[in-house]
Formats: sequence, C-alpha cells, structure tokens
Amino acid sequence: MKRTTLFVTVFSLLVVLGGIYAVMTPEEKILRLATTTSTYDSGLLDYIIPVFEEKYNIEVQIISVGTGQAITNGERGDVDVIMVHSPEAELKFIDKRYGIDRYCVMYNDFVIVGPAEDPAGIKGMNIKDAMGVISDQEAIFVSRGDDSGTHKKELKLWKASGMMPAGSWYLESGDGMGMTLQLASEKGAYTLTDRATFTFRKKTLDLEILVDGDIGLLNPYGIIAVNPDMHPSVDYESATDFIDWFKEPLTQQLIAQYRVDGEQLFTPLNGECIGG
Amino acid sequence: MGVIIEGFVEASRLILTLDPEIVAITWLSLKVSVSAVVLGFILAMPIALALSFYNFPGKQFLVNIVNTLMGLPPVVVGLFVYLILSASGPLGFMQLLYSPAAMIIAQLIIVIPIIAAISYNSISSLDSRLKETAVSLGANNLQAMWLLIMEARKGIVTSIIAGFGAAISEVGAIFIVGGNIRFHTRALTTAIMLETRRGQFELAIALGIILLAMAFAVNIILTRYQARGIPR
Amino acid sequence: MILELKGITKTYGQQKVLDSVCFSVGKPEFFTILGPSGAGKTTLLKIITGFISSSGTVHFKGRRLNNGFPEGMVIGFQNPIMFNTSVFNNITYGLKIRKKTSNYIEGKLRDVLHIVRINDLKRNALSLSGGEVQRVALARLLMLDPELILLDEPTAHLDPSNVGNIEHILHKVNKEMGKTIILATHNINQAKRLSDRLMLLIDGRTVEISDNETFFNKPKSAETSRFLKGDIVW
Repeated sequence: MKRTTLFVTVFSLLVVLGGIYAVMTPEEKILRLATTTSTYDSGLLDYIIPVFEEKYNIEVQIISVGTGQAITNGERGDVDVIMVHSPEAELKFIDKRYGIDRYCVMYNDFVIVGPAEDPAGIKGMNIKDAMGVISDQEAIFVSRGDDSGTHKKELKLWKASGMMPAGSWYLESGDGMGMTLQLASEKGAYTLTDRATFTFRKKTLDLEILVDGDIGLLNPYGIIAVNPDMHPSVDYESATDFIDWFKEPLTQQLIAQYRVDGEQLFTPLNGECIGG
Repeated sequence: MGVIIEGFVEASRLILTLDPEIVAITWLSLKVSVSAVVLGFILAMPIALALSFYNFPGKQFLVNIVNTLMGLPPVVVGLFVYLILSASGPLGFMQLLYSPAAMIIAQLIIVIPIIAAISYNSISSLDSRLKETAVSLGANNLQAMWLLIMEARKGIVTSIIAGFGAAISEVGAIFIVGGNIRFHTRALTTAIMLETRRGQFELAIALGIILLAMAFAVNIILTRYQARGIPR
Repeated sequence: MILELKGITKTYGQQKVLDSVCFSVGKPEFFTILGPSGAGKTTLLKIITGFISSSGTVHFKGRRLNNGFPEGMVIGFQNPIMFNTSVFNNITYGLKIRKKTSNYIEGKLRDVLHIVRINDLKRNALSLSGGEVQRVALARLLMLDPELILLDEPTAHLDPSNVGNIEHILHKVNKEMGKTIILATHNINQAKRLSDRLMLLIDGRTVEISDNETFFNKPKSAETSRFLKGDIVW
C-alpha cells in the first residue's frame, strides 16, 4: 500500500514538473500556421513542411480548423500565417488590413462525388446542369454547412445554377470534409468535395467522382501573413521566410510531386491568382 | 468488421513497437490530464473543505454554483479559455494559446467543480457524531477536520477518478485551446478525432485502446486507496 | 470532589429541559443518573462536556469549565461511532493525536486490554458487532487514562450477555482502576447493580439523590417509590 502511495505521488509530481518544464523551456523558433482541415487532411503539409523546417530551423505548428476560424485566428493574432482556399474571404482579410503579402500557391479542383449507381444520372454533365438535376430530382446531397471554403464554394455553385438548396434531401453535416464524405458515403448521397481530400480518403468510401474538370470548380489556395502592424506579437519574420519558401521553384515542384495513390492532388500556381 | 479487426492488429503493432508519434501523443495526454487533476485537486480541496466545515452567508448559493459547474460543457470552457488566452484577449500577452499550458488551464476549469462537488458531498454526508467523537477524544479542530477527510477518503478518491476520467476523455476544450498541433498539443482524444476525420481508422482505434487502458490503469491504482483503511 | 454542578438549567424555546440541576461526584465514585428516556440525561452529559451551553456552573477538579473539552474527562456516547480504520487505530486515536510515543501507547494498550478483552486489533472497526463496538469504544476512552468517565446508555441496544459483559467491565474500571464513572441509564436494575450513588431525573427535575441502599430500600421521595414500582407511566 505504502509503495503504491509513494509511486503515485512521485509519478504525479514528475508529470507536473515535466509539464512546467515543457512550458518554461524556450524552444526553437516557432511559426504558427492556421489552415483548413481539407488542406491538412490531404497530407501535403506533412510532406513538404519538414523541408522548410530543416532549411530554416523553424518549427511549424499547424492548427487545422475551418476556413472561417482560420481567418478569425489570423484576425485575432493567434497565428503568424494562414493558408486557405477562399479568394473572396482572403481579399476581405487583406482589405481589413489583417493580412499582407498574399501569395497564390497552388490549386486543386472541386468535384461532385456520389454513389457509383448515380441515381440522378449526373455523370459527365457540366457543373451547372448537374446541380440543377440534383435539386430537381431531390437526390440526397450532403453539404458541409460550416461556412468553410468548400461550403462557400458550394453555395456559389447553387446560386449559379439558379437553384435553392432546401428540403429534406439537403443535409448539412456541420463537419469537416472527411466526416462529410463519410456521411455521404453512408447515405448514398452526392456531395461537393475538393479532389485532394477525396483522393486521400477514397479507399474508405463508397463514392466516386461524377462531375469534374469544369472551370467553375477550380479551388485556389492562398497563403497570407498576419499583419504585424495589427498584431505586434506575431512572428512576421518567420512568416516571410515561409511565404518566400513557397515562392521557390523547388517548393512548387515539391507540391506538384505530391501523390496519393499515384494521383497528383495539387497544381502549383507560381503566384498567378485565379478567381480574385 | 474488417476495419475493426485490422484496427486492433495495427493498434497492437503501434503500441508494441512504441511508435514515437503514439508515445508523444500518449505522454502529452497523460501530462496534461495528470497536471490538471493534481492542480485541480489542490485548488478544489479548499473549496470542498470550506463548504464542509464552515458556515457563511451565501454558502448554499455557492454549493449550487459548484454543482452546476460540474455539468459545464467542455466546449464552452474551451471557447471561454480561447477568448481569454487569444492574442487579442485579456491574457494574450502571456502567449499561452495553443500550448499544453492552455490545455491544462481548460481542463482545470472542467476538473475543479467535479472534485470540489464530489468531495464536499462525501464529507458533508458523514455522520455528524464522527466530529463529536473525535473532539471527545481530544482532537482539536484541525485534527477533527483531518479525521473527517480520512473518513470521506472513499468519496474524495472517487472525485479524483471522476476528475481524471473527465480530463483524459475530454476533446472539445483541448482541441480549441490546444490546436491539435502535431508533437506539441496533440492529445489522444484530439488525435482520434483527426484520424477518424482522415479515415485512418487503424490509428484511431490504436489511440482509443491506449486511452481506455490508461483510464483503466488509473482507476485500478486509485481504487486501491479506497479499498483499505489508511493508518492514521 | 471531582465534579460539581450548580443550577444547571436549559431551555429550548418554551420548554425547560433541565431545571436547576445540582449534584456533585466524589472520587472514585460510581454515580448513576437514572431516568426515563426524555428526562434530559443526554443533554446533561453534553452540558458537562461542553457540547451544549447552559446556565449554571460546572466545576471539574475545582476549576470552572467554560467551553471546550477538559483533559481528564471523557464521554462515551449512546451508539458510539467507529472510525473507518482498524480497531487498533480506533483505540489508539486519542493518544496518537497527543503525539505519544509508540512505547507509551503499547504500555497503555496492554493495561486497557487487561480490563477490556478485544480479540482482533487488525480488523476494520466498521465490521464489529454491537457488543464489540461498545468494548472498543470503552477501550478508546480508557486509553486516555481519564479521571472521570461519562457514559450515556452504554448497553441500550445490547443483548443480555453483552450487557452483563459491559457491566462487568464498568465495575472493574471503577473498583480496580479507580476511575470515577457517571452513568446515564433508564435501566433500574443496572443502576442498582452498579451504582454507589444515584440521582433520579424526571422531566429535567432532580427527584432524589441518595446512596444505593437508601435509594432502593427506603427512598426519601414518594415519587422515587412510585418510579421503582413502575407506577409512573411515560
């Protein structure tokens, strides 16, 4: 009994001391990046960022949240740099002076996925027609419903097709891309997803790509530093290093090289912005 | 079914080979939750003792508050701590957001009412003659208080178990204030959430097994305190 | 004179629970407060030990008691309560909090176990039977080597063989160890068997204080006679 008491006491103390030590110890330079779950879940960042960390001796801490929260994190000065895919929200972020030095890094594209049987028969249509058919036939469609970049894109596509997404066939998951795909797969439903996340998750899903390749489905990613004038506590220097590193041809090449199950997920933009 | 079996196989492999990422995640979870429970215990006991041994105006109100806070939704705690520790928040200058310290703070807020309420409950439900007996045997106030604490130790240990259980299994608050940063603030629960989202079910199951095993081990160790009489 | 009470009066609201009770106890006397339940016996004992305040004075060994528990006096409650630990820890509690050495505790324990037989000291005290609880409670008091022991109905809920056992112990404590005992009981026969002197307390009033012989054979008060005959119904 006494030995257990001693063990538990000593162990608890060690753990607490370890915690305090970890808090007190100054670490190497840290760069905080807020990005979207779909970016993070694609695995690209885990693939390329170690190269940056090695070269600059800066530890990159990635916080993956929805586009809305990633931008709010930037506005509140909780991170040094953000990487999102919502050109309008990005430009607004810069207009409000929270962000500077935007660089258009790469794009992937959105696709409409659904069950292989394709009950609404949208396979091969252009995006505008496909959205119209889904809504006309009231085929089950799962929306992110979380104000994310993908969700915003989806709403824009509904608007462009002149449809109002509402009714019992229109489900809102309120969750990240992965969970939304999972839900669509379970329900035999259609959904809009970025190609990267879908490719990454494909093997656990009963879904396939039905509509893609439309110019309206392009999904550009931008990287923006948080303005140090608004938040003096941010590490602007490291953020600049980070953005500059993305501009390097070698990095752009690395992005193009990233494959999941043999498929390329992202195409480098070399700073050429599309859609704003 | 296949995923579950594969999950368990992969889980055993990851655990047995002491996969560095798994070890880091487990260690962080343990560090954060044990720190929160130890600090929470230190902070909650004075509350429980004050409520048990002293009468003061507004006491019943305070009891009600503590009981209510016991059911505090962790996500709300997370949001609250985020807004305070955020660079734009009142304590932003401390730069604690997205650190293990922030996770400990959030868990502290969740754990303190649990430990305080259960401990208070177990002390105040003791037979009132215990104190009289101790005093009649010559105990002063402090010694009588200590006796009552020892008599209520079963409930107090239960409060620690409940607090640890809440802390180690908590996900919403530590996700918001910790950010689930790899090798830094990624705990078992937030890692399970991430791996499920990513469809890496094997990894998620492995982490789930570790989480269960840890909760189980802590329960076993602490329950030994309840089982036997501790000599005074 | 070890204990002296003067004009002890206690009222709860309109009700007078004790009405100017006076008595004194010498050393080493066995003094019994006899009375039906509800007569105020427990209240009186709690006033002596300072758990309840009252008007009137209590002198212990010539010193007036205000509040707090005087060293040298102990009380055994009706239905004593055990601490959730071993019998040994229960019995030695009073000395341990007084920071006595383990040698001293061992010695005292031997003396006490000589009078009060207890089989297993390692058992958890919560698992004891009613008779064992009373014995451990008595041992717990005796460890403190008190001069005055107050006991509130120590045999109230015990079966006859245990009653006999406890009475035997009390007798030895009084006659062999020389401890003064004040016993509160409603049991007329027990009072007769044990007491040197008795007080009859009815509705908070002192009816009679006499020695054993006088009390049971030629009581001074007619009310006492009626009580002993069982004519007074409560």
